Amino acid sequence: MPIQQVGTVDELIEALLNHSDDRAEFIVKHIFPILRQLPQQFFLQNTADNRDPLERLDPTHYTVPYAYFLVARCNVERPDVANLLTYILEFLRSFDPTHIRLVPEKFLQVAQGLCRIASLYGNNIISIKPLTHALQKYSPSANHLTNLHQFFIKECLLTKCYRQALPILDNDITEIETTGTGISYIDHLLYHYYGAMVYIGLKNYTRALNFLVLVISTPAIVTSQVQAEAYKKFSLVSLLLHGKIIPLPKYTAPVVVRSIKNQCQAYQDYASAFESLNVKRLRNEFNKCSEAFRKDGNFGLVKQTLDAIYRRKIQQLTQTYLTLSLVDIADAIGLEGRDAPKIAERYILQMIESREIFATISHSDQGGMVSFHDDPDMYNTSNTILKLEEQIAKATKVSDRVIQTDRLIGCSREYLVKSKNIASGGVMPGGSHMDDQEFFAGGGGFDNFDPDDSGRFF
Amino acid sequence: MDTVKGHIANRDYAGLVNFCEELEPQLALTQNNTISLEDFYGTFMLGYLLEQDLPSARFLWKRLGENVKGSSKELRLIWDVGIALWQRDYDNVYKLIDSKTWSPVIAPLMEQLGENLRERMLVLLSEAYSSITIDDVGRYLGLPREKVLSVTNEREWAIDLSTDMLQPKKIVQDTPQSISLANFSQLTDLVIHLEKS
Repeated sequence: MPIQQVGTVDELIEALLNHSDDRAEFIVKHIFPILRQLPQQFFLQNTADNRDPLERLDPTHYTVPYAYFLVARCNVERPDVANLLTYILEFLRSFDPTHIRLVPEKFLQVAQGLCRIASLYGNNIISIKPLTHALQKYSPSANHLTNLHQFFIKECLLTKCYRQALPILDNDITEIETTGTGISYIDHLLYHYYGAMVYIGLKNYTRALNFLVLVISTPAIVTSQVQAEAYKKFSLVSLLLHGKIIPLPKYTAPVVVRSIKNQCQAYQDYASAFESLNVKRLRNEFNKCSEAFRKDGNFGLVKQTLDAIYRRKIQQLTQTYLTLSLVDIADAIGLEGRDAPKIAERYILQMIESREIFATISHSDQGGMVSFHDDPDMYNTSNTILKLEEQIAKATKVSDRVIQTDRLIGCSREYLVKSKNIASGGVMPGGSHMDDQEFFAGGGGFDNFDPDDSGRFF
Repeated sequence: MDTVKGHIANRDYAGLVNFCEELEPQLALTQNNTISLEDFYGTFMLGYLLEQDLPSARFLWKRLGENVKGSSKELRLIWDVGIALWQRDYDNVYKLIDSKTWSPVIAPLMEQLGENLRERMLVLLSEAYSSITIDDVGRYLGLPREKVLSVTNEREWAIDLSTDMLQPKKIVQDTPQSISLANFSQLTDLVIHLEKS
């Protein structure tokens, strides 16, 4: 069928109503060409009887044209806020996911339009819940990444609706498909970076750390600024959780490692001061770099490390002493002043509550003694069995996924090409016969065999 | 508002928080005259505090518009309780809770907050202390001396008036041992999986 020429909105609507076939290929073949050749201005017009075309079109069946109209109307200087808001919310409630995945860029523009309209209306919070539901509908599954994810989390951060981001964030991203989701490399980086910021705000540091490591260790040829910023937060969260900067995964891109050394020197110096558990040295570093921390937006995190160093020192004490007086503790961890023993007592109570240490405080001996114990949990109750079972279930799930991914790679073109090269005696005759010593020695490959260079066997 | 009251009556604070989170954007969208914003945000924030989700309570406070924050003294006081909880200034928490008569919707929540805190403190103190001064216990529980003595007596703490000390009794947790058919099915799943790979 030749591409129809439409001149007015009425003609377009007639054309759409005539072709009421819902299948995706049909839409791509017939509707897209019509829509794509129309200029932006076209979608701002009304019908001949001056009604809004959005009234006539049903968002479920005509998802794609509806989206085009919405986007155009949202982007004008002074949009009709009240009406548009109703239309957008209706759209987000009832759009057809298979259709909209044909135009992912437009969907992102609708979301951006919604946030713009919401802020013009006066309250950005309006957009959060509708976007949550829309995002859940739009993703092919809860574990797929889409172009909307990072935008949504950013909105949650800006509107301070942190908890509302959790239904999306708590699902790990395990599927990446570029068709139908419109994602690019930066979407992955930004989503996990913003996600880490949400978790930091909600004090879930373990998961924040996972996300940050994901960002930093993403394969890269050029370091992204997002990765550098992620490293800064990563170093601070690592101090809070582990008392030092934990090593990055081995597969982190070398170019990223080098950029980190250049850009994040202040943070690395600060971390060494923390590791030394010397309170005065830490304060010095803090005073030196506080401006830089503030500029990077990490001041809150840094302040928490100033507090955390005392707790870490107390933990160190538990490894040396069985009992210690509160006065001695206060002295050892570097608290000063008349109230120091009381403050130390408060820290210890806090740590007992959060199960960071096991101790008993006694007021009856010379102004306060603390006895440290070992973990009283014998790990022999059904509680432990439950935890074990949970972990085993998780491990089986992960291992299933690995087997699946392994099979997929095994069928992929690159792998087959490379293994063909190896099999025909190309590079290294050790690929699939690593345990055959004679083969090695005979092939003359033993001298060049480098057990650490795993890359050469693929 | 009735749903809110229903959740409060059932002590379903998780449900209360979820309901308020859904309602908040709708309130922003359409003016609703059946709910006073003060009451709504007051119960919303107390929901977070009762769920011990202090970070979310803090973000709620930051989200509130200046007009709501400024016009409601009660809301400000509720947030002050939140701040005291954040800083673990338990003395202050009790003082603030007792410092005023709360509006009828808020009052039961505040009372519950105080009670929950007291209970948590009793458990914590019995875990952490082998002996503690009566005054300190009074501060952590927000109770005067006689009440402290009677409450701890109920829990079988030893009182030593000569040194003004209390000896908390450790609470022994009884964990149920259970082997059920569910465990066997998990075991078989695991063995199948290991055989497969």
